[in-house]
Amino acid sequence: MTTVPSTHAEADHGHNLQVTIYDEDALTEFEVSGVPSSTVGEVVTRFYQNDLKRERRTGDRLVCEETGESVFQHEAQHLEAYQHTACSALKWTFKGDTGGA
Amino acid sequence: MTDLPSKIDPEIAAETLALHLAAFFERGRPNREAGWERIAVDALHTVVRIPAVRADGRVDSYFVLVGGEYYDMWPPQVAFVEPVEGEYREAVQGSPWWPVQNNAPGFQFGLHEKYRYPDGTERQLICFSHSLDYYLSNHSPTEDQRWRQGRHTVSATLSRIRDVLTAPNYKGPGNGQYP
Repeated sequence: MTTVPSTHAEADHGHNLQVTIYDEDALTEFEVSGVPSSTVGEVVTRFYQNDLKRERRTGDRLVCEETGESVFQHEAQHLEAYQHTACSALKWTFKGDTGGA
Repeated sequence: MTDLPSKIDPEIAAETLALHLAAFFERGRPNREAGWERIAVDALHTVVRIPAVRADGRVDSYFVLVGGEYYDMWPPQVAFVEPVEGEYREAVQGSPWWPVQNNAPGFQFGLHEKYRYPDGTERQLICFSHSLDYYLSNHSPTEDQRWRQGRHTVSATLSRIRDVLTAPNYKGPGNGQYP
């Protein structure tokens, strides 16, 4: 499991939030743990660095499994607030780019 | 220009496809939503029943024939099919086995009932880079889009098709009327 460190210790209440990410292309599952004050973007960065081990690409899609909404549009949001307002189960699905016509 | 695919040793292909399909049904979408089914045809072919969800929440089903003759060096071959007297044949536009959809599922995709392939044959094309026929029809992916053995599995293929069969892109079966 990957952990995002805290920069706001007092506000984090000493607990971590766990994000589960399903990579549908490779059928693998990753867990990234973050303190409530970490941003969604920090969690996304850790996922790319530690699990995908590559840079983000234009066609990548990372969505909240329960709503289908893109995670990328919430990158500035703190993780706890994101959980309460946008993706309560903190389960994401990753899909890479595809071509077609 | 992408190299044209060539067939894999059939025993290896069959074993790999079976392994990856089992993993997909155990850990992928079928484990998280109802309506999926596997129907064995032969060592290299399986029909997968996939649920489709309309905008009003109604659920339809489609059959997709999955072929592994080039797998997993190349993606599986996929086609929408209909059951006919114990066998499966390519689905026809306007039938209940053909999905009406907008070719806009959030990624590059095209569904063609009859496509003329470079080898002169004319048959269905499910066109996206996790489908074998995308390569057999001489389409060229970017490096980021290209199928990668060891990274992509049949999960990528079937999950994308499931995405196509989701509203608002998906409307309903081919024998219905939709706005």
